[in-house]
This record gives sequence, C-alpha cells and structure tokens, in this order.
Amino acid sequence: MTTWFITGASSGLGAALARAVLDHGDNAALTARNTGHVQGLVGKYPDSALPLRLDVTDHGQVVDAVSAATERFGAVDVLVNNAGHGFRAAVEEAAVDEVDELFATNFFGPVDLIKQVLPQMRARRSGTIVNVSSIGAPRSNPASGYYTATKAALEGMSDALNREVAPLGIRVMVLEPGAFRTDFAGRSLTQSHTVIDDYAGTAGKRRKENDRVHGTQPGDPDRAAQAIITTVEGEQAPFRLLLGTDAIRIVRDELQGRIDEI
Amino acid sequence: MTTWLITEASSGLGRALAEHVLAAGHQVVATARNTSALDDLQAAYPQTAMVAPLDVTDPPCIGAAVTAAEEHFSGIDVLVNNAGYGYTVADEEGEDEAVARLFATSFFGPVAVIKATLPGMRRRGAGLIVNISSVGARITIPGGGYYSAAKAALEGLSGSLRKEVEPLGLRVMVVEPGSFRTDFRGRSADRSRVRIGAYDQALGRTDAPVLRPAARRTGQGGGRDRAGRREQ
Repeated sequence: MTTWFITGASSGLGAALARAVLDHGDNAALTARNTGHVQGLVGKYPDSALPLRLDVTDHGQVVDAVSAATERFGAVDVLVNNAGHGFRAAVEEAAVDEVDELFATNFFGPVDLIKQVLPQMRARRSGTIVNVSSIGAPRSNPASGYYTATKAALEGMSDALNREVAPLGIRVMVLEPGAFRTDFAGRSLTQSHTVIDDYAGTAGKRRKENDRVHGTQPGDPDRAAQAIITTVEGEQAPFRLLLGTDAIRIVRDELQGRIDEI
Repeated sequence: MTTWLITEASSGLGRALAEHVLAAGHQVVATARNTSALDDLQAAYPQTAMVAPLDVTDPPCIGAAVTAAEEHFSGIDVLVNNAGYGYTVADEEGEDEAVARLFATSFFGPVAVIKATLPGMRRRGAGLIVNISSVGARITIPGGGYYSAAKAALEGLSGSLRKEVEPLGLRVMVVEPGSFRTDFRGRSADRSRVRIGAYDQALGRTDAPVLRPAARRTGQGGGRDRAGRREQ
C-alpha cells in the first residue's frame, strides 16, 4: 500500500488530494499548521490517515513529521509539497520580511522536506516527489514577481533533483495548476503592506481588494486530485503536469512566446 | 551619454562590460566588494568612471552606493545586476548556510539593488534594468539545482517587474549567457562540503586527480574542479 505525505492538507488542492488518496485506499500523512482542519478525514479513515502538525518553515517540525509518518506507516512513498501561498506586491512594494516568509514557505520548506525523505527513498530505490508549482512559474504577472520567483526556484531545483535521483529509482514531478476553486485567492493570499501609487494600474489591479477571481476559477480540485493519483501511479509520469484547461493554454502561449523571442 | 551602474565589475562579464561602456564614451559606476581591482579603470577614465564599494548582500551598503552614484552622475540610466556565482551540489547535499549565501548574492541582493534604483528611475520616467541570469535558469543539470533555482527566481521576478514598470517608461531585460571565458568555474564557484556517494555518478564526480580540458580553460582556479563538469 502506498503512503502519501501531503503538506497543506487542510484546504484547497491538498485537502482534495488527501480525500482522494484515502478514498483510493492508500495511507496518508496529512500535515497542516492546524490539524483541527483535517480531523474530519482522520475520523473517517482512522487507520490510514495520520494528522501531523507541521509548519514547513520549522526545521524541527519537518524532521519530526517525516519520522512520525515513517514510523506509523513504515515509509513515505510519495511526498507532495503542496503547502504554499500567494503574495501580491509590485517588486518595489515588498518588504524584506514579507519576502523572507514567502520564500521560507514556498521554497526552503519544500526543499527541507525533500532532504528529509530522500535518505529513505534512496535506501529503497523508490519514491515519488511531487512539488506543487503554478502556471505562475512560467508566466509572470504584475504583482506576482515574488510568488513567481518562489515557484520558478522550486521548478529549477526540481529539474536538477530529477536528474540526480532518477538513476536511484526516484521520480520527481512538478505540478503546474491553473486557477482552481480553492482558497488560493482568499485566505491563502497575502500582500504587501506598502502600496506605491505608481503601480496602481498594474500591480494594484491584482491586490486582494481588486481581485474578482475568488470562487469563480475554472478548475475543480477533485478532478485535479484524480489526475495526480493517476499520474503518480502511472508508468510514464511527465516531469511537468499541467492541471486545468487554462494552464495548458497559458503555458503553451508563454513557451511559444519564448521560442519566438529567440 | 548614459550612466551605467554595474555590480561586481571587477572581473568577468562585469569587467568586460564596464570597459566597453567606458570606451564608448558613457559613464560607469563600477562596484565590487573589493574595489582595488577597479583602480586601473578609475585611472583610465577619471571623469566618467566612478568606483564604489558594494556587497549586494549588505543592504545599507546598497543604499549608500546608489545614492552616491545618483549624486555623482545625476541619475542611473542602466542598472546591470551582474554579481553572482555558481554552486555545484546535489540538492540533498545542499548546506543551509551555503544556499542562503547563494540566494543572498544571486537573488535577494539584485532585488535590493533594483528596489534602491527604482525610485530614481521612476522620477525620471526612464531607465533600464539588466539582470544577468544564465542558460541555467532554463536548462538544469545534476548539481545545478540551487544555482538554477536562484536564476529562475531572478527571471521570474524580472518578468513581473517588466510588466509593472513598462507603463512608467522603464525597461527590464534578462541576459542568459552560455559558457564564457570568465572566472565562473574558478574563483566564482562554490561546492558543498557535504558529499553523498550516491550522487557521484550523476554529478560526474571522480576522485581521480585528472585535469580535464574544461578545467584548463579557466586558468588556475578551474584546476580545483577535477570532475571537469560543464557549469552554467
């Protein structure tokens, strides 16, 4: 039986994936900063679901969570680095501490988790690491410079990692979701305290109070979860998995634009 | 005549760029952590070259250098974020302190310099920001994960920045050099002290003290790279 370790399992894509994995009959370590939010699933699957309190920016908690999941289920077969959040600010508007927090959550935390699961995956010569990125990695928007930077960093690192661990029997995948009906544009989105008037027409339009996409995104998280399970179980997983029809259109346009520029 | 501010203009691409810009009759604020390597430029172009000490990982230092440059030449027209170096290590071998230093120099430092330069450029409604990235931002090799991450981060941020400042009359460019005859694989390279044998093959590491052709190319610094890897 496959054991999944899913960060940020309390809401959005992480919660949908957690539910789908458990419905599928697999084991899942469900991590969240507040495990109260995953208790419903744990109540339904007391034997196969393990709630773990985890703030991915806390190294001690990362170590403890991976070892608790490994002890309970014998192994972590699939790590899903899903925890993360958006941040809206023109490049000039962001404060150092805001950017540090974003990088800690979206990049350095996932890297820490990867480093914690790799020794056991190498020992077994098997395992899958799934890093949830975004179409924001290939495509930059106003106000999303720092978010894009964290996701592009995660993808760049994942690409090298994939080449380093493939010979050791370990797979690495990057997910690039488009817009899904999750809490991404709601609770999961932060923005800079500083606002500079010159950016009102660009970054300002994408600040939370002006963003109208919340609740109307085209993507269904449950369908994304099924696609992730099918892909992870499949023999021929792509390195990058685009999720959502908008993602396919946007990324294709972006990459074509880059080729044309060369 | 335009005024350029070039970070780490003491060697490699930054130095070559500073020399060419000065020779073309423009003004250059040449910065480096160690400015002694820039004394000859200052002497050759006493009117149009200005040398300023700048460690991009030191925020107060950034503000001081940008202010001095703006006062001396009445504004910066072109900012070139050139400071950076390579770091070759399997992802699992990465050391927190070394990774933090890499990101401080290759991502957070350039961002801080951009933020310090933007108010002046916005006031004048003109300016060009050039971020030196690498083909490594797009093409990743074993051992290059953190380096690629930092460069991809810089490119991702640059893409947003471009859309934010174009309406204000400012331009943003990313430069992606391939392999150049600079000190990149010598003095500008960092390697991890942690070594996990399982990655030796993927990273092309060997203990045999053989100098491959690629290592000779870079001069004395490159001699330390016994694996003869290609780095970006």
